[in-house]
Amino acid sequence: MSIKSEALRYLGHSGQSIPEDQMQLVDAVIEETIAVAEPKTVHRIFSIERRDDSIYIPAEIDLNTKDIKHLLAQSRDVMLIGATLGLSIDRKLRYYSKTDATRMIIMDAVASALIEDVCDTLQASLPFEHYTFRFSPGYGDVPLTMQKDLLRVLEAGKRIGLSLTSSLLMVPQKSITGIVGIGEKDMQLKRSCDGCKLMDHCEYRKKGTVCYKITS
Amino acid sequence: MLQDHIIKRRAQLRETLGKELLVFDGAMGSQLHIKGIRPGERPEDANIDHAEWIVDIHSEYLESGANCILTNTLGANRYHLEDSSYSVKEVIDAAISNAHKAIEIEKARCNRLGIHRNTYMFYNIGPIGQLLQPMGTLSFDEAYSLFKDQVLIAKDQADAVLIETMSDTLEIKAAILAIKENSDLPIFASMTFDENQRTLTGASPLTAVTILEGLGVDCLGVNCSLGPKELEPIVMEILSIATIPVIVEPNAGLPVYANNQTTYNVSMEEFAKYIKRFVDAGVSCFGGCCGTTPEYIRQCLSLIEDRTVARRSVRKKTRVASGIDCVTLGEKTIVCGERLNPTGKKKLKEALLAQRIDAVLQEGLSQVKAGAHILDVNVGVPGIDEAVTMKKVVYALQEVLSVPLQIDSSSPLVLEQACRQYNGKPLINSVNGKVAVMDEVFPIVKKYGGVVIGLTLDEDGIPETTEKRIEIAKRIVDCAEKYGIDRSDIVIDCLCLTVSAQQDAADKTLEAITYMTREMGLCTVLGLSNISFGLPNRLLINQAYLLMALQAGLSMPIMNPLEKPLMDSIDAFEVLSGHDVASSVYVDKHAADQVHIAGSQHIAKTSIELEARIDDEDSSLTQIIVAGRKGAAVDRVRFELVKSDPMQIINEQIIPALGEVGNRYEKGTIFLPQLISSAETAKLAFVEINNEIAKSSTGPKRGPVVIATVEGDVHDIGKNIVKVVLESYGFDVVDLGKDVPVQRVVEAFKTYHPKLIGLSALMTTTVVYMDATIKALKKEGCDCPIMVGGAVLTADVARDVGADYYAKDAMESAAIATRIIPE
Repeated sequence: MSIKSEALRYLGHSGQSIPEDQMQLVDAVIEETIAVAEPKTVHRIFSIERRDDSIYIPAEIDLNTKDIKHLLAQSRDVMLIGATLGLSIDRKLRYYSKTDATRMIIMDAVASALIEDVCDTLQASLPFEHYTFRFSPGYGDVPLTMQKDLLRVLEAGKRIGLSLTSSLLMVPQKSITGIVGIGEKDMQLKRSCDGCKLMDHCEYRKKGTVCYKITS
Repeated sequence: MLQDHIIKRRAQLRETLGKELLVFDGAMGSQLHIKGIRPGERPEDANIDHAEWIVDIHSEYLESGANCILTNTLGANRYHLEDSSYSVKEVIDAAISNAHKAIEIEKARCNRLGIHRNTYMFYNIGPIGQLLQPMGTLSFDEAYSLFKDQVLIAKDQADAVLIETMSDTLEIKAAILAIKENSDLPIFASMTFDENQRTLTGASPLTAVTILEGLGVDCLGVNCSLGPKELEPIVMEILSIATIPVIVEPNAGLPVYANNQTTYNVSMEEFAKYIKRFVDAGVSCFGGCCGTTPEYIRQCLSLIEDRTVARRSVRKKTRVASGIDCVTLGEKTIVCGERLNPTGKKKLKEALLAQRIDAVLQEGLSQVKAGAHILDVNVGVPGIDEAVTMKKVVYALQEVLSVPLQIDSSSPLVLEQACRQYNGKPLINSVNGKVAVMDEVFPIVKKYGGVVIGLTLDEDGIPETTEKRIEIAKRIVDCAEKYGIDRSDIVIDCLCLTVSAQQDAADKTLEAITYMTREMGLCTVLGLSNISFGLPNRLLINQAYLLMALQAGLSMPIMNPLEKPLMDSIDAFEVLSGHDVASSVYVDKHAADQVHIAGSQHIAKTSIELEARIDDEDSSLTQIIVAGRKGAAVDRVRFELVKSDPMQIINEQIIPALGEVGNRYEKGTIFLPQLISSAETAKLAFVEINNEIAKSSTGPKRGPVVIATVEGDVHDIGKNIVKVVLESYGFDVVDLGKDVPVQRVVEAFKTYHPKLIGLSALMTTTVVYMDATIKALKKEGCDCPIMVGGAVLTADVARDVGADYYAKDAMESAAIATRIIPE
């Protein structure tokens, strides 16, 4: 259910009545997307060491940006996550881009919702209760170049087939990397649009919503 | 210069391989982590920073019983080492020197013990770390050059090369070609499969084996990703199909991360138990991948008494493949779609001349949808650069389809260039009994590992007798053998003549097919449609001859899969010949068939018939478009065309419908999928109307509009939406695709003379390419308006990059196009 409502939200749905044939199509594409996707995840958890005003983890990656330090301020450990739906979804989307544009856009949205769900499911399966939200390179002041270090630490190419293009885009396209703090108590950190480069002209915000999943 | 001792060792290795078990080392990376390398550190740098660690690890493996060690160079390519303080050459030289030292130490140790061992140093090549097009943005030529760099450094120093952990069949092909064209190194090639028994890019073990054997590697196999238990079915499948030696290197199970450390969950005892099983089943080489240690290798050897490689008997079969799927000829009937050939097809010829690759692609898509297993690709039109066009079409087809292709050209140059970049094992069309042709084409077949069609004709033309056909086929097979091409990689086309001209010739062809199949053990193909030339109701003759040929032993008809009666006949033949076990395919496809009364099947043509087929509730085309009912559009347009003028339909029905849809979308009463359904419906209506207009040859189309997702950017969903919406307004759109190099946009400007150019970019990192593209266009004197869009674009950014228009979404792009392109 949550995949469907998220996918509809990505598609710009905001309460309009959806004709039955369209609804059936959405359901069929959700089913197809789940069948075609080959979700894979990799994660590593590192203890955070704090010295002076900086944070260190026993891996070759520098997490010292203002936003990440803020994110991890109350965390004991940090979890690095890589997740992907695999190339089969990319291939299906390419096929539909030439044969059925309606299916293409629905599958694109469903896949975006599904990959978030894959990460949520992974986090829920781990024996931790208190996470910060997932932060990714490209958000706030975290440079996209950090993707390289993140993927190298995770051995994401070898483990889950997640790689970068030279312009630092992830392939397969329906992939997520994340930096998540793990702590003892509820860290009271909610995701927000602060610091997003697109804030002033965001299509989601104009419709009164946001691009990320809203959690209670 | 190759030193004598290396030449000798390579010969020795080739001699030993497949007879005596070769024992490879275990993990390098995991061992380095134990020694102190941190997660995320580049293991290749350790060749220089911690040379002694590397020498130690090699030595420990040699001492444990491994006789083949891999240099620590898995990621020693320009891309991986981009941020390293060392060059590719420094890293590779150091890695080889470390391996040498270890081998010398082992030699000294053996001398002390008075034993003799042959040890081999394998240069290790891993994936580049970037995906090749069309999945990623790396081109085949760039990949080739990254591998070539490494080969040139290692070629006179290593004994052999092991390519490992590969997922993409095209990437491994680039590596193999780089090695073959620049060295004499024996090649061992290993791919990685996951638990659903495919590589990450979708190749099955059968596909991988077919391609690798075709490319002529010395040994092939599987490594990494899984533990030995999960690999077992994959290993067994490979052993049952590979006709060359097989290598296996499993992980020590799956990684477990705890306390900042990585461990693996399979014990050395269990690991060894499986390796023993693999060796008993006929594996020629084994070693370990992630998480294995010298102890794992020692444990394996303690279970293996006999070092002789167990015998397997595997028969070579005729197989072709894409990077994903593999098709075996000589079992079930395989259908090759013939329609991607401009001979006698005006529209396709025009599309090729105008370089409208998308239109060509549609011809492929429809054939595969109709059931073709393989597609013939011929782009021979006078006045065209055939090699360039062939490469474009093959790429476009492989981007969205997974069927193997049949590269069809009379020019060896075209065959060579297309085969080089083709992902898979191609079917090559063709050679014949002429010596000159065979001498030109067989080297291409051999080098790129294809299957080739041999036409039974020679300098004297198509023979009339069966005997002469057989003689030519034998000549082709013999000559192929001289080039090292196995007979399983030859399929024979016995060629059929026109029955209305030579009535007894039909039977001669069938006799020849039977002989090739039964006596020569060859697979056969046959282009069907010639047979019925000059006769009425050709389909009927084709259908009958198809069945006769299948009965005679034909493996693959080359035919039009859109002719449903032909496809239906094959379905029936498969049941009657026992190929379709339990008739399951047949029942699946035909359970819902209606038995037609003669004459009721033809396509509705008259307005009365059309009216009968049109739903009562569809009061107008407008409503069909607004509702986005794609299935109803074409019939309705045909119906309208009987009574209305095409322009009238456009102006009075389609345009108002699109206006209504646009309004509803702006107001938020419908959402994106509905908008797109309506746009696709309107597009279908336009196509149908344009077909009608083309008949009376009036009314130029609006446009063209050239659109592209810029270089470096692979996110093209937004651009695809723009395309559909523009087409729904009747614009002629040339879609250049995604990750389009700056230069290709410039070329497109010159080729298509667009009225509007649309560029999209999703990320800040790729907006720079948008800027570069626009600058390059302007430099070439482009006065065509440029419209831009994409997630990170704003009116300000659009102005900064020099665009004329900024479209915030697809509807706005249509509004802009409507404004600036007159009807």
